Amino acid sequence: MSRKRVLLVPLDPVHDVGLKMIRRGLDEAGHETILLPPDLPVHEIVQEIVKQRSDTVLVSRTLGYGVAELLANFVDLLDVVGVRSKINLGIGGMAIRPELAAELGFDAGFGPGTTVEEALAFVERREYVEGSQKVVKNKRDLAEGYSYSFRHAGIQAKLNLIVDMILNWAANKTSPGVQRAAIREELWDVQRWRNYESMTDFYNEYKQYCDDLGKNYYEKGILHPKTRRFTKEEINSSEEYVRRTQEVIKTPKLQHNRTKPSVFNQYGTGCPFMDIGHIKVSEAWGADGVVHFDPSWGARTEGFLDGFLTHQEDGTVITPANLNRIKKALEESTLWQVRAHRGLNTPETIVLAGKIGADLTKINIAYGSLGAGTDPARMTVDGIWAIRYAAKYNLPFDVVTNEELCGVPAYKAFAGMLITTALGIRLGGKPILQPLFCKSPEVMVGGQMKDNYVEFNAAKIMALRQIIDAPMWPGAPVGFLTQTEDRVQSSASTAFHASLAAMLGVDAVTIASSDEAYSGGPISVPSKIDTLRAVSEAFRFFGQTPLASTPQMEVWRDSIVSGIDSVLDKIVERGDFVQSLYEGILGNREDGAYPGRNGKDTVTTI
Amino acid sequence: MIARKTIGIAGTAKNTGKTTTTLSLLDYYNTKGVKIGLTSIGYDGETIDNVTGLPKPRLFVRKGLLIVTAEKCLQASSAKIKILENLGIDTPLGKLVCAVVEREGLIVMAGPNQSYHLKNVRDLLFSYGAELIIVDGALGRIAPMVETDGFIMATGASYNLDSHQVAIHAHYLAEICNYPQSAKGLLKDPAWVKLLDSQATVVWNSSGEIVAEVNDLLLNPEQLRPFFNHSSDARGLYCPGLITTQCLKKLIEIPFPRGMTYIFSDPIKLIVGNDLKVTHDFMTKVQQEGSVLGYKHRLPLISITVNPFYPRYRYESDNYETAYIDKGQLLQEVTSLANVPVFDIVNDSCTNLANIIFDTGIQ
Amino acid sequence: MPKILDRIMDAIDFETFLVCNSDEEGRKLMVQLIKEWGFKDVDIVFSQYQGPGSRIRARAYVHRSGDVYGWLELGNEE
Repeated sequence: MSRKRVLLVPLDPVHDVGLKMIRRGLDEAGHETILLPPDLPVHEIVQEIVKQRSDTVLVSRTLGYGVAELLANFVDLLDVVGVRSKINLGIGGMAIRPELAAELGFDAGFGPGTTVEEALAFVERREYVEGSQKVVKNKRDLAEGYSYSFRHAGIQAKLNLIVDMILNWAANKTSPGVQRAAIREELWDVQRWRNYESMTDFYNEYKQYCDDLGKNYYEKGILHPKTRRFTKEEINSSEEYVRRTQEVIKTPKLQHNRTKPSVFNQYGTGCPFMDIGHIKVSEAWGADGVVHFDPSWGARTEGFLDGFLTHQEDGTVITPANLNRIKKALEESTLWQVRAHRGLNTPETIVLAGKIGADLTKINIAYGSLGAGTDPARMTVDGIWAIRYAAKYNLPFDVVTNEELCGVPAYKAFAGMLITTALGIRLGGKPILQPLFCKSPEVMVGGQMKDNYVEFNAAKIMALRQIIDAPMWPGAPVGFLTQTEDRVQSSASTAFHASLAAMLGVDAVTIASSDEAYSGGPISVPSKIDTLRAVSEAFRFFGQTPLASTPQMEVWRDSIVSGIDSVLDKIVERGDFVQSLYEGILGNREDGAYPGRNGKDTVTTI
Repeated sequence: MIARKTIGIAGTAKNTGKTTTTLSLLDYYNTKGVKIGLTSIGYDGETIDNVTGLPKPRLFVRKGLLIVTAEKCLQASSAKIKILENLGIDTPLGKLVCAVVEREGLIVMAGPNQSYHLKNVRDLLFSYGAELIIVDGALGRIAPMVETDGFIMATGASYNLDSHQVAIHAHYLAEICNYPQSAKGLLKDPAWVKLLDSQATVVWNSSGEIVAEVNDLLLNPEQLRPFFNHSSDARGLYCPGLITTQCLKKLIEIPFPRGMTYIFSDPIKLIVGNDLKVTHDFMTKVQQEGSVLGYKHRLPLISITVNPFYPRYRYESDNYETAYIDKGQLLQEVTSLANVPVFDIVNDSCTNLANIIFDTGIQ
Repeated sequence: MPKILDRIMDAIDFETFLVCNSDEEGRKLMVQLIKEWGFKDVDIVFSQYQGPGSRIRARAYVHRSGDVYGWLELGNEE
């Protein structure tokens, strides 16, 4: 791109700040700029343009009485003098619109809110786009640049022993979930499925490992009572809506001058169409990624249904057709996470998500067993296979620690998270640590957040950083148990937590909507915009300001690290990871953690 | 039949009746079956004025009209329009396209807004079979009219509330455009025509030899200093570019001999940005001294249309309201001073104006 | 032309300040008001009574998940 000679012309009696900002942007981009004094007679300006042999002339002028005639005369002079056809002529100012620019004889008109980038595009004669330029976002690999090397040798050694323990225990075990994942992996071809080719081999094998819900569906076509199929008209309309939206959507960047954290929104209205509506709004208001929420009964059933199904309660049913529709509606740059972390379909979820093209998933054996209702033995066998498939499909997965919400102290939840993480590293996966930023029962009782929400949350990140070099994604969402039904309070709290995450330099953050604490009905789309706007403003406010460490943070950091170490000691001593889960070493009844019962006695020995 | 002409419709200000004049001509030629090409150097057909916020006449067009307008204007048009060709010329409202109206309706126009592009647009419309091209103007913009064969000037209360001032201005315009002759007839020797290819402002002697030359653009009176030294042997002067009011004043002071020949590129170069009184005074003085004035390219002012409407600015509410001055007086004063046919385009039939376009000396 | 309400993606919220004597009264009046306007699926999302009255937000769902959404039909119009 060649260096342009740009003449900046304030036709107003005073210098316009906008013009000065644009000048700075143009200078930074390597162009030669001359800023004329304000309010010169038009003849003198024309002379200057001829003398300077400018390529581009940017005029700023606020519209007012008689100004249109003045500008028209200026353009006429340029035309008569013969320079009009040689220059790129733009005008900016209050009340300037493209129609007026056309009428006055300019090449472009820039109203209030014009970005420097827009002016730069004009100067460099790149395609003129009315309004702001579409931000070109790229997908970011959240795990990129991390070595996964341990910084705490003691913890590393104990984790290695525990990983050996787990793999030895599971070596000769399987479950219906593992079997279905294997069948899905071998016999279900996404291309053949997309082409409506016969998949009889797959269905015949698959249904044997499903419970009654799946068997009824595949043998008799009976749906779950809360689901229905879409009509052809609904499907056509949805495709049309997506097409129209994709044509015009703009995807702004929220992080201002930072590159991190990527901001994730959750969706799971129950209906894939409504989900698509929510996703397009999240994207248009700057979310970098979206997280698929499935209904809670999805964790308790053996096997997936198929078909394009809507569901009348929270959570969108995972079926190949639903995931495929949602995938097709996403912008190219949007990261897509399909959660597999809990329940009886964990490994198969990853196979399906991998084949359909998800970017990320979610696995945690400890949380799945203690906070999400799955039998620890079953969760462990299924978890190992889930991690293997995540590695195969190159899906980084976060290791969520929501058992903290039940009352499990952070250090115990983190010990469980680190075990799944170490297992993930051993099996070739890319785990992402997911500590909660929340007002947990632990701090409500212990008083760690009596003064502020900053120090204890920061201490969590510092503790994990002291142990391992790994990506981090506080969630999910941040600010759990701090939000109320007041959308202003809720948005503010979310924005502060997201800013804390940004200042701590983490890789991603999941944010809730301002309806987070409202339980009377589905989350509404404007409530998603509330928090995205709030986070955007908070990121703008703090910019790249770093967070200073405090003595209190260091105290809590050290106590978390030693707490983790002591939990791992106990598991090593116990010599059996699965029994440790049953017995409460990673969270007991007193902590509000109960070993799950779903899938109990379904693990079989090969 | 008309032999391929381009007519411009300029205005002395906004709201002087350009669009009304255009509509009236479109209607007339439609009944006569003349193939019209329409373009605009501004933005026409919008419901509300960009500056005053007052309602404007909409551009209603009929089947078969050829137009050149910006892509984004098509979306705002109710007429059914078929795109014939994309010209690849950028405007703030997208690329220019050449199109034909397939079903009558309203259109919005924003065409080429500089002379350089208007030339290409004109040639293209002719190639699609246009017999007469109408170029709708913009605000007080007149420069692109240089690419037409003659133009109509719309004026009225929007230019000045005093109808006498409107009439004087119209008089000056008519004189400046129509009085000077074609340059070729003024040159003593036909071979001297090469003087008019000069890229500089030149002064020649009785043998047609250039004795002094300065810049093509006469913006600053200081530029004319060299001509003072050669004033006595000067017989002619040619300026290919713009000349400002200050330079015209200075030019009058140079003691050139009587019987000089002054040639300018076209009337636009004497009008744009200038005080027309000074230009007119210059012409009068030249005449008194027995000198002659000519244009390399003539650009006749065919007719003047008058409009008593104006948007009245209201300070208390910072907006505009519709208002009129005396219609009869405006028409009478302008007719008496301007030496061209004058019409009240809202009330008069367009036939006379159209006949003048037929009859005018446009080649 | 479908109803403008069909264009609401999911819910419409009404947020205001009601002069009332208690939180309960505010909630009751707000629900009554929104129902008078013809909405059926009404709930109070948030209410905060402080003495001068209640800052209150009511919500009416126009499209719940699984319904047939009016806004999806827009593409089929002229």
